[in-house]
Amino acid sequence: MRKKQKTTSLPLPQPRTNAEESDFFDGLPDDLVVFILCKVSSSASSPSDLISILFTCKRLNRLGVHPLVLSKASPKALAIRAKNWSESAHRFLRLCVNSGNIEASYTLGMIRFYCLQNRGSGASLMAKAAIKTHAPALYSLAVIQFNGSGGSKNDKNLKAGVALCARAACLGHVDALRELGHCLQDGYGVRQNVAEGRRLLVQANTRELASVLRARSASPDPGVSGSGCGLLSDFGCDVTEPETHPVNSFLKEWFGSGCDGSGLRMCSHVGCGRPETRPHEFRRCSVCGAVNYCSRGCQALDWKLRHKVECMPMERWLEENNGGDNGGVGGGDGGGEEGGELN
Amino acid sequence: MKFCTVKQYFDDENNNNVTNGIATTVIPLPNKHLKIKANNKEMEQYEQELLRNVMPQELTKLILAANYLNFKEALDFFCRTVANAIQNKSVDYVRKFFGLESDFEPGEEEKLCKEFAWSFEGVDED
Repeated sequence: MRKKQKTTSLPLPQPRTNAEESDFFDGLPDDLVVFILCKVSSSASSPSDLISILFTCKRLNRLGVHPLVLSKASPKALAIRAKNWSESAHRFLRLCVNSGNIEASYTLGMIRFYCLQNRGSGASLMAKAAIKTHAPALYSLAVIQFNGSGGSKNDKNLKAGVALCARAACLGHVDALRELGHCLQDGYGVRQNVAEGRRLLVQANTRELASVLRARSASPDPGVSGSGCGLLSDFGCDVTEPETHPVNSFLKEWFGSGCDGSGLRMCSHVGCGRPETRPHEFRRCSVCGAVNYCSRGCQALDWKLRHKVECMPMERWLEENNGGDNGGVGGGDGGGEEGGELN
Repeated sequence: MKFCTVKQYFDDENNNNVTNGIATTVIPLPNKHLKIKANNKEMEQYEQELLRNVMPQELTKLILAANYLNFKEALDFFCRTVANAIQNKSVDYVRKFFGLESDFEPGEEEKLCKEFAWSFEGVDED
């Protein structure tokens, strides 16, 4: 919080006789108004919370877009709906990015990379957020490295992916912890260490449980039971699914309406929304082959959320096709983190 | 030291910035803070009662007083109150609450509507 300087030299306006005509913000100097607007933007739960202020009068319009106010905007304040996407929404996000808001950098980076197909600019915006240790940005960049998104199969860089995942995991990002855990178990991009991988997977589950319980205690609502969280259902914990980042909902909405064309698939995990950037980029469940995922983390979550009940080994056509290709066994192991194999 | 300016305040001849009434509201706050520091709920209730009868004009003076006295917690609290009051409310409500007049030209306001059409969803009409 900024240190406030004393406004001893500021003359207060004369008190007006008619109370209705006096303006609340008139008596306050600009820096205090900006201070108030910073609070509005940091606790905003939707874009309209902040944008309404800009419509009230010229002074608030000018101060509402002050870089300090925009730099504090919460993720929800930047939660633009895909159906409302326009040049002006793009302009607003760019303004927030320029004010130093790393959430905006991440959001605009994801939108530019996947939706607007501008790979270079999208990646550099995400990198800008990642440098400021924004965990979701680090994880998203890791997924891009693992898949070689935006390039060819040869552009996959497993070691870079693991490094980025590790940094996101250090910050406590649950998906990154899971991804790293699986990489260690399989020796994927890093030397195999099954015990360490297992430890990370357990840590991911613990963190997820802790954050759900924290959210629940903050808003005690006995009606909230949810359809069962990912991996914790194995331990008998029937907790709600963790909240997805607004930008994942944006991606889901954007591609869900069929804007992709060209037969590229989306990650089958509902909370993800990432599309392929080239054919056959994502790997599919080797048991049924009906679903595909951008990462092991998404695969593990979706297995528990819904795929476990749907996945059926295609035994009949495996026999017909001399099914040696689709190896791997579906079904959870004792800890319940593994789904089918990815091929 | 919460009241670094108080000493100066007494030495200072220029007392225009903080009137008596406001000072009596702001100054007891630190003592109350200390007493119920452990119990957050009580503090919230106390704060709610304090602000229930305060009109926006009073709030301006409270904010300026807290700023002058360099009393960070009170300043934070009053500003947060204002922020909560205008959170997710329609444009007209915000104008009415603070007695603001729209000083836009008619064309300008339409331009703004177009510019920010993407953001308007789910606003309380309150």
